Amino acid sequence: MKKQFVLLMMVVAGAAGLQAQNNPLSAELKRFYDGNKTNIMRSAEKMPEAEYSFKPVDTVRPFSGEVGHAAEWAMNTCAWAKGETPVNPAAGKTSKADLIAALKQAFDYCDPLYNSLTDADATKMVKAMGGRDMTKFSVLWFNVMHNNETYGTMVPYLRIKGIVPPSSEPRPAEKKQ
Amino acid sequence: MKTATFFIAAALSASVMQAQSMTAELKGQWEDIKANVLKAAERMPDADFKFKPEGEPRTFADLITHVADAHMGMCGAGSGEMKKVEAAAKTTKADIVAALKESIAFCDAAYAGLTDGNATSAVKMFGRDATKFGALNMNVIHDNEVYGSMAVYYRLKSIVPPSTADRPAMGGGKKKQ
Repeated sequence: MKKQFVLLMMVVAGAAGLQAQNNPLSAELKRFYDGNKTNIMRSAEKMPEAEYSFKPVDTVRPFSGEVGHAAEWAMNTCAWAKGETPVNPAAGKTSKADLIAALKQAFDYCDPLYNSLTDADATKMVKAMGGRDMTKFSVLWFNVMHNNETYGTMVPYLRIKGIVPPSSEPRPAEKKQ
Repeated sequence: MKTATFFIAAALSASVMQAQSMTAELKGQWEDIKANVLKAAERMPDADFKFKPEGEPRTFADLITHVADAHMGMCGAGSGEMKKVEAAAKTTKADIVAALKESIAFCDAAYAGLTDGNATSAVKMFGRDATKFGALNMNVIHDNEVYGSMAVYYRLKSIVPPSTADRPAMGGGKKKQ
């Protein structure tokens, strides 16, 4: 049983490696997406519920608004890439639990796109942002870029509240020291 | 002046949205973010380069020098030519902006050298395997992250960030970024 499991894992790892080798651009995009998704989700989790209404100054969104904005745009871009109509999962949501659920819903919707994207598929044209023609890759990449901008915005919110942003947390090797 | 800004912004958006290939789209996004980052550096008053929000370890100057030095690393990976501007060692606004401009010029050459034919060429970025496209893609993604933080610094100093200040009025309402 153990041998079969190891063999299966080797086949899966080999297939993943081959997929990355044959689709270098899509594999990179997925890696960027995964890293950014983790940072956004961890930020949403680390900010205490009571601070979701916090905003550093009146002219910016509250932290809850940033989380909702990330969820809405992830859903928008991934819906465009799929040729579907976007539905904002964060609409009307203000609580930490609801917004994290909305974020998870958006990422769950996006994940299969990044997981299955190939370099050949990436150059297909799709309609996005009000009917403009863009490559599927560019739309999915815009999602990563926009999420990273939103994450960058969240960073000062976290710092002001004395919270270390996820991307600045000590890495596992550093934690041992 | 407002009219000129409108046409420039419209032309930049058009360059991104009407691009016909992934590399053309990436170059369009680079044009957009480099303009925002440079304007952010130029428009922040000299005295506020030392500003940092409470709890934030990085000053505004640190954000700009980080971007400039990161440009050299990622565009160096993308072009195969490693150079440094040592922006982190600069202390005055004039020197920091000059270093940023030098890094942008360095990147401009790297993006100019990117073609659909060489996009998947293997390069090393910070010791990791990447493609030429991926390195230059990561540069834009990273710029957007840091710009997201800059926007909060701007708002805390009661200044409208360039991406909002220079955005043509379309359909009413500006995003709070």
